[in-house]
Amino acid sequence: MNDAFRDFYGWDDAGLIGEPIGLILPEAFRMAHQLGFSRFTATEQSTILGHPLRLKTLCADGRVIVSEHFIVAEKRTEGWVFGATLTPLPEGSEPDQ
Amino acid sequence: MNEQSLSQDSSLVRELRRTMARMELALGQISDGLVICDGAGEILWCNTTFEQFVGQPRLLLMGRRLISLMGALLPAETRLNLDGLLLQRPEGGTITAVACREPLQVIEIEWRPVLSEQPVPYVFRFQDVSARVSLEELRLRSQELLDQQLSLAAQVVTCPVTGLPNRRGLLQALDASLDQLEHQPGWLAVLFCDLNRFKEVNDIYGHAVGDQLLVALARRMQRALRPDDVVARLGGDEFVVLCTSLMHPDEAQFIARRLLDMVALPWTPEDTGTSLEILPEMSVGIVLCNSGKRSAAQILHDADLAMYEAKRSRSREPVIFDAAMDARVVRRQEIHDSLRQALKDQRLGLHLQPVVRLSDGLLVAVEAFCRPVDGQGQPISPREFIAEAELTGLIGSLGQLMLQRCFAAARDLRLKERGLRLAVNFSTHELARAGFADDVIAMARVHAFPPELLTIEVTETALVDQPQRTRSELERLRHAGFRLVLDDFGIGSSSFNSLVDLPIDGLKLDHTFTASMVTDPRRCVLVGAILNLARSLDLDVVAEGVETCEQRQLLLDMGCRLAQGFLYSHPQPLDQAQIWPVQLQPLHC
Repeated sequence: MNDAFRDFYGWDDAGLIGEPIGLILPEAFRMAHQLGFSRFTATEQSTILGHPLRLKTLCADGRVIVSEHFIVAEKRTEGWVFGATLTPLPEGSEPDQ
Repeated sequence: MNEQSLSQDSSLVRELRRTMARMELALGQISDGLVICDGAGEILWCNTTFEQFVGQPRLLLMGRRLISLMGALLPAETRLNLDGLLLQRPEGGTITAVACREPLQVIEIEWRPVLSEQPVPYVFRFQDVSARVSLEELRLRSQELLDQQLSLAAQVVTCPVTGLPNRRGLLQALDASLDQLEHQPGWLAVLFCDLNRFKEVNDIYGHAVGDQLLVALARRMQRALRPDDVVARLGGDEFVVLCTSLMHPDEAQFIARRLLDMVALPWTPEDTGTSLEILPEMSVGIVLCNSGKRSAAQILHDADLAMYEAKRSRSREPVIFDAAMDARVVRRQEIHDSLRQALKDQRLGLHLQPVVRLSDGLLVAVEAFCRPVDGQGQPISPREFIAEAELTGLIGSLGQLMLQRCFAAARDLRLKERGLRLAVNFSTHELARAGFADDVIAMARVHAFPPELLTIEVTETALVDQPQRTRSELERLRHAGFRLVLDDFGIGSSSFNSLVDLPIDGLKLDHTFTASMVTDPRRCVLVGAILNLARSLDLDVVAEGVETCEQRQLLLDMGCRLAQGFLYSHPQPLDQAQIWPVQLQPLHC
């Protein structure tokens, strides 16, 4: 987590480090996220990696902000490692169509 | 949390992820759309089929309220109030909604609560049931159409090809004529006419020519009839003529002959560009009636039977129905049933008769006779069962079964080891069947029976219908080493020419000669001449039907070596044949 993420979305290390990343998603997206993630680990095929996605993101204070997520993945000896950049979009922005 | 429990948790997560991935893949493959919504009706998950249903990717569907997607699924007038439904039926349920009328699309929606959680999430299943509903609709529509067609057909009284009355039209006319016969004297005749080999015309020249022929024959028949007579086409190649107001039953026969003559004139189809000429033939059965007491259906049935008799007789003469025909039909059916049963059970009665050397009664051969029995266990005569088997096409299977039984009997009697011949008879139809010889050769090989010990008895009539084919099969058999003898020599179409023309090893003198030669000197001379001729041609002769000592002695005196007949033994079942001695003595000399 970098400072920009901490500042904008309000999450701190204690609240997020070591927790599932699904925490930053609204409740309604978590099941799909878990299943999608499970599917990726089983098939290693993804439709969301490597391109920008406009998704709803949950802030620590409960607000939901539409952000542009760019998720990448890298397979290492110990397993897959994921990284993402999140760019908050102006208020009123719609998620991906 | 220590290192070991962390590792266990990690394994468990991996295992769960693998399981979830499999489940999601499986759910993505089913043809129903699946959606899981949380208690507020927001979509938590859906499968691929549901994405296709609503035409939107899953990412867009997550978090949206399912009810907001109903617009993409259902037209406004059938829009479902999902919230209301969930309130009314929280325990779950199913509804069917029309998504589109043209083309028809119907969707079935089922919902079930996940009771273990609060607020209660719901699982929805969406299924396109258009095909099911369409089929049901189609069934209803086709039933309506069928009813309409049946109703229309019930009003049609003419044949569309010939323009003649059809069966319905004929029955109406026949009913009216029978009514009339109640009130005025006279005779009524129904002539059932069936074209012979009409199928060949259709097969060879096509149905268009077949239809042309039907129309032409319908016109010819009309020309051959009196103004008030009715000719109808029942279907296929069947015509029925109704003649009313006959003063004498003989008139029906005159009319029938006139019809036969008219129909038999050569006919050439139009527009074929060939000089094709067809010689039509038909068989006619007649029912005569001088009271209105019989039903139209019964009269037609009887006329059909008479026509069938005419067809069987192969003569051009019309046949008049008599009550005995019914009994004959019943008998034929009984024989047919018995033969089918015998074939099904692979059981066939077999009787055996010895052929002996006349000088000392030495057993030299065994003739096998097929003896099927009817429903009452009574034997069916060869004349009856062979005719029926030939007519119904059972003859081939029957011949094969009989040969199998013969070889089994030969094994039981140890004919091969004893050097005794086995003689068998086949239907003329069988002898003319291409492949018959190959079948016999193969079967003898399977049963390891030497060809030189198998005698096949052939009547000259076998060569009447299909001489080339029969001759070819017989020559194949002779070439393979089987013996051929001419059966029933001296009667029917016997010709001395056959003795040199056919590939035979011997002949069997018909029992009528044996029976009459003692009392008829001229017959005796004829038998002597036949024996001399056969000897000169190096042909074996077996005298059939030897019943008396006088006959035996006379045959011996004339140089006949072999015989069979009641003097030595009636045809016997296998268990009796097994106790025949090596030499059979005459029963009463």
